[in-house]
Amino acid sequence: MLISLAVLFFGVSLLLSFLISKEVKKGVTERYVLPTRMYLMFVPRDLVWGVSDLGFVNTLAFIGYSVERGAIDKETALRIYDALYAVTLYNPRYFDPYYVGNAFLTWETGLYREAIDLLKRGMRYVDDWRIPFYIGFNYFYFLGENAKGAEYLSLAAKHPQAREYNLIPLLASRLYYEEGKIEVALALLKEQLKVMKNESMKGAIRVRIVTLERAKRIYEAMRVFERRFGRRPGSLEELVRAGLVPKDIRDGAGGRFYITSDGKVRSERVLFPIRKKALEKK
Amino acid sequence: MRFLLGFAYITLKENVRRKSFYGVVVVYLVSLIFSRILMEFSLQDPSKVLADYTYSFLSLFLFLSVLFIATDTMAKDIEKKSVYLVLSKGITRDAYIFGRMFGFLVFTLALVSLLGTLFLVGLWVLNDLTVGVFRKEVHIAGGLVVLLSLWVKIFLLSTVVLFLSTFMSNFFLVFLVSVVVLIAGSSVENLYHFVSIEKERISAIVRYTVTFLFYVLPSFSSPGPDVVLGLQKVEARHVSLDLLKAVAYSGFLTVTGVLIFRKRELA
Repeated sequence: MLISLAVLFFGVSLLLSFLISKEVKKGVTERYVLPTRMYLMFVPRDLVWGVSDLGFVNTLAFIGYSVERGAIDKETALRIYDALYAVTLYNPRYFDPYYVGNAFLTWETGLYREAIDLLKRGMRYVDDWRIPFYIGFNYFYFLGENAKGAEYLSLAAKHPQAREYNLIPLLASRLYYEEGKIEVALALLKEQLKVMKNESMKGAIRVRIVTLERAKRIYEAMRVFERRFGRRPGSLEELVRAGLVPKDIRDGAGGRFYITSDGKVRSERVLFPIRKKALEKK
Repeated sequence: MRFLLGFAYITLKENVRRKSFYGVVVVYLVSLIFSRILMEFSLQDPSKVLADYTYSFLSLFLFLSVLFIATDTMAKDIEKKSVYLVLSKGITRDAYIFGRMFGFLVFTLALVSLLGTLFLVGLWVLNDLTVGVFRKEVHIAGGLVVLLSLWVKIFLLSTVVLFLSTFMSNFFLVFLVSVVVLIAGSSVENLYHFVSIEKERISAIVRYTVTFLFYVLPSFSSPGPDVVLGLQKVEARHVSLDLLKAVAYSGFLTVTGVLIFRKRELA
């Protein structure tokens, strides 16, 4: 009876302390106890699951307070990173810390490498397409590393849960294209086409494949032109005049190709062909 | 065998009679509701949070119950001199220790079956009825593996208490040392987990030392809630080796306890 009363008392006091801390949050915010690797190490292994979850809730409250307060300095950001690192170290299959880490450490604090480090652990333990997607996005959007971005986005695209989202392979193929890896982009899209079931989603992929195949043809023509004339072609028309590409070559959605001053092949409507088509129909 | 069964019956009966036994059941039911409330703090992984809390409460109550009940049973036997009554009936000291051990084996099985059923059913019902979009399925087979492992581990803890009681007469000292053993074993498990995740960042000497300690010291944890949710596969080899180690430890502690208890002054 004594034990049950003690445990009940513990539970009630835990609930009360949470409610009280919520009430007087503004006065005691500096006292947030964030989980650390050291303190979680002394928690019995079977209790570490619940304790790390509670630690995550506390970290979340601390993030909320820090954002509310305004500027977040690097020290605070690193404290939060350490807390999320500790939670994911002892409870690595819990998705929320990766989700929050990705959102907070990148957009709010600029700790891109740390966010990626955290997410890479998540990839080993959590079977969710969003984790490689976040890593890929961080690489290309924040760090400008398109090749790595494309690599992780393709991993996300190949995940069974993400097969029906055509935006991920489209984005990955775009990044591969920017890196000059058209073959890889095509292989990814063709593979995706085999596993996708939704016909309207497949449509956009087919359009992109046609666009990439034609862009590849133009690049090959540009190389032949260079060998033949000893200089780069200034425009697509030069390639047409040399008889290396047909006159009416268009991208998958019917848009015109052009060659930029730095020698890249671009299309008018490569990004959103479906939307443009719909607008034209209207 | 008849004698062992008799002892098991007595141990089970005297512990089931305790009001604290029912108290634990009621408090665990309350903690299931509390876990459901805590689940609200999850953003995208409510099933995992629910499983984590319900499982942590389960193991907390199991370990606390066994620590208190086993310590109290042995202390009462010696303090209230009821051990004399048993020994005067022609039962040897060795048989008394083996009998108590077998009694704890049955009692821990009863406790795990009761609280474990509440855990699995509670988790399954709360998960199915209250979790929406991000729901993960509860795997009963995985849950049973976890409960089996928990049973062996809390039995190991009860043999630690039994062993300490054979040469310590102070109730609090036995309790305290048992808690220290539990925390030490758990910390090594955490250290081992830490080292296996952070392989690249830790020196080889530290890695080997921790691995050695992990295999030598008793461990008190089960595969955990991730197995119940099917997030982690049950590694049959790892689980069976772990259980074998726990059983070997329990056997070793009981035999050593028997040897010590033979020479103990009871007066």
